[in-house]
Amino acid sequence: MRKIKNKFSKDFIPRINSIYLVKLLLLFTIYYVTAKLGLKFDAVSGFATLVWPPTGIAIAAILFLGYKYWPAIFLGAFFVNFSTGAPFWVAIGIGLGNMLEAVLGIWLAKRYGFTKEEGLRNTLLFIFFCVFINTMLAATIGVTSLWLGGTVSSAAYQATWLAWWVGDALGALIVGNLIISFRAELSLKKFKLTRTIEEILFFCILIISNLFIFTDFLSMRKIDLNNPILVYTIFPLLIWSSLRFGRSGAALAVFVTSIISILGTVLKQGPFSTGELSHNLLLLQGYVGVIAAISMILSAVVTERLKTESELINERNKDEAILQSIGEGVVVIDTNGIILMINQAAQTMLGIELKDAIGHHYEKIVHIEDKIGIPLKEKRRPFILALSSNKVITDNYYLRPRNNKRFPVTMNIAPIIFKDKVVGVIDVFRDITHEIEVDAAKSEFVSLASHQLRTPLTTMKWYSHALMQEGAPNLSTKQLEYIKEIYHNNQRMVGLVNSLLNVSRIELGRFLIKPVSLDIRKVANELIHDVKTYADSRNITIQKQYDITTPLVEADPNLIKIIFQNLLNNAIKYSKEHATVHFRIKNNNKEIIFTISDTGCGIPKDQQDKIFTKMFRTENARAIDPEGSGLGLYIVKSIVEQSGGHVWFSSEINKGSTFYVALPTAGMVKRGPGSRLIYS
Amino acid sequence: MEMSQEKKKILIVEDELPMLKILTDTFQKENFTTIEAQDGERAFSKALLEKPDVILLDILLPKIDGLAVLKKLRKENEYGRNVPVVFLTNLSPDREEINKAVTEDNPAFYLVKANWNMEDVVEKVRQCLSSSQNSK
Repeated sequence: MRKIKNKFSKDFIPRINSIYLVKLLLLFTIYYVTAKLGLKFDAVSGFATLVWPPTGIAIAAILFLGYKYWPAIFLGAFFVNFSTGAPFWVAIGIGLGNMLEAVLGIWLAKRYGFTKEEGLRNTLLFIFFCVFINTMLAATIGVTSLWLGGTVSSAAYQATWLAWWVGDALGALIVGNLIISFRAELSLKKFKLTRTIEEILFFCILIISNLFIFTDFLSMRKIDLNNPILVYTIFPLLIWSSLRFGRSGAALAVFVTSIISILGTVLKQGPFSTGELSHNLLLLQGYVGVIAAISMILSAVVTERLKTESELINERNKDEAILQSIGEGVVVIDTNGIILMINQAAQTMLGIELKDAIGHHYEKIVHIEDKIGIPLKEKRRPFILALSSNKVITDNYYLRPRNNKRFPVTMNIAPIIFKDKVVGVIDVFRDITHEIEVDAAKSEFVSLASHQLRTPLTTMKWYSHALMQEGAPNLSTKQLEYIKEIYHNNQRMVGLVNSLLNVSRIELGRFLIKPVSLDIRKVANELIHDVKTYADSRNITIQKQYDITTPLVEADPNLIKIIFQNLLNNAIKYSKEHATVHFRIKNNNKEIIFTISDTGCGIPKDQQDKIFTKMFRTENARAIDPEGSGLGLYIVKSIVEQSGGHVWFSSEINKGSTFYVALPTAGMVKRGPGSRLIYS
Repeated sequence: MEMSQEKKKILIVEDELPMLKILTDTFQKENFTTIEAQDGERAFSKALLEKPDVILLDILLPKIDGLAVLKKLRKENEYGRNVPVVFLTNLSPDREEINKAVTEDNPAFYLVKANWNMEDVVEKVRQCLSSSQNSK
């Protein structure tokens, strides 16, 4: 409540200073002079009010200056009426009415969302609240005051009220709207010579037409003066102004028309001069009201449409600019392979001009080659692949621009789906010359470093192993134990270097998968043989159970070994002594499922989701074997998934774990050097 | 049986002296005649001159690397084309040039040193000798 009160006092109670006073005085003067002139015109016509411009001025002033300028309107209206001979209290009443007309009109319109902007909604709000409703109020207060003061008889009340209301409404509609639209649009920035010439031409035609229709100044015509059809000929002109010159042009055209038509009718000329002057003027007011409202609404609709259109165009240009400015090459192609769009980066990379690309066939512009410089066969081309598979294709290729050196790119081609239909593809590519260089340097470093690390490890391995075997008879049990310790720890380092190498290969995307036709059961036997020494040392039995229907599978033996070495070693390591580890192979025709289960320490529930994370080790595993690297399961998962299989497990703490590896019977996915996977 | 009793000649190409030493010792103990080379050029010339029955070849070597040595041998003559070669190196076989050499020049084995014990290496060498014997 207090808030509303505060806002009210802030809006309506002026803080008096010199600027406010000057403005107030100016507004008062304008209002007063206009009203005086209006009354003079009224005297000519002998009719109460015709078009009452002060109403329009008052509404525009309250809208632009603020509510706090209400005193100027009140005083203006009061003094005009008082000086024309209205009794004091009557003049006070009229002043109040006219002031409230402007203030309440604007307040109500704003309450319902009116702003100074152009647009249909604002126009309708203005017409309803600032033209239609508020003027009724003013007419009622004004005429009632006159009636109470005895100036107007009860018999004349109705006619006077109607005249007052229509006069004020037209004042708001024609003059008010004119001021508001000009105030909003007057700006030199919008100046255009052709538009100005058109406007001048239009207003000449409008004035001549008006004079022709409503007056006798140009009476060369041989048509019946009173033909009512004539008044319709103004409509095309008003439509022209609404379509071409916006709100201000339309408002001015209406203003010009109303002035000339009133002038003609007052002079008893034109189609409205058929009967009593008061009657004629009332008809004319109706006519002017209609054309004013129509022009206003029409111009608002047109302006709004133009604005939406320009916003749309703006938005589209912005999108285009964004696409154009992307640092990666972007080419948009329709389903027939015709280039619809190619951005700046693509033009530069391909060494081609826009005009030579747009509308041409993609394959003629973008020459894609493989690593060794052979153009891609049709069905391997990413554009064809993306269209036929409806999937996003990501791969590395080489592009050969015209007259230029070829360069490597990573390319991403995606189907463009519009309303559930593929309408084309978008090709985004990036020059990866630098990445390839870095990649090569990294791989070079890793393999070199691994070689360097492996050389001393190998030497120690061979010598300690030789000592263990050849020196055994001459060594004490203790000495032999020490040497075994050296050998064992050296083996650990070898294993660690191998794991690190595998990880770095996985992460560099250099993991090669070279499937060959493989008898999985034979490989499994070799693996079990390899880990036998380790299993024996812990008194662990390995039970195998192979499905006799296991077919030959296309698989990479090296990778198979890495996978199951890791899983078998884990099973042995985390089992209690004298336990049994089961290794099963099952064939369900779609996949070959390997199961490795132990009865060991298990994986705690709360750590199960992290078990495949690089370098992660569970607490109980660390307690059993502090030496592990935490890389094994990460490597297993990476290899299995990159080969097209999947891996999962079930485990219960202190009861044991079972790991499952499923490889497709169709075989591992082949992976050559440098190629990345296709994803959907 | 008689053939395998015959003393076989092996060329061991290795630039790391400690490794060369234990390899030579082991193969001599296993009844091989050993020839040594510590760089790629010498390996090539010794191979042609001495015509060993099998070559144990490292890859990272001074002067010319093991891959180039094998390529040259395979192109050189009838002996070079057929002699069994075992790569014994610490390079992982994931580099493209290695892959290419393995498919084109047909070494009998590709062994990563750190993953094998001495007796495994001897075993592999014997394996490829017997298979090359059989193919003859």
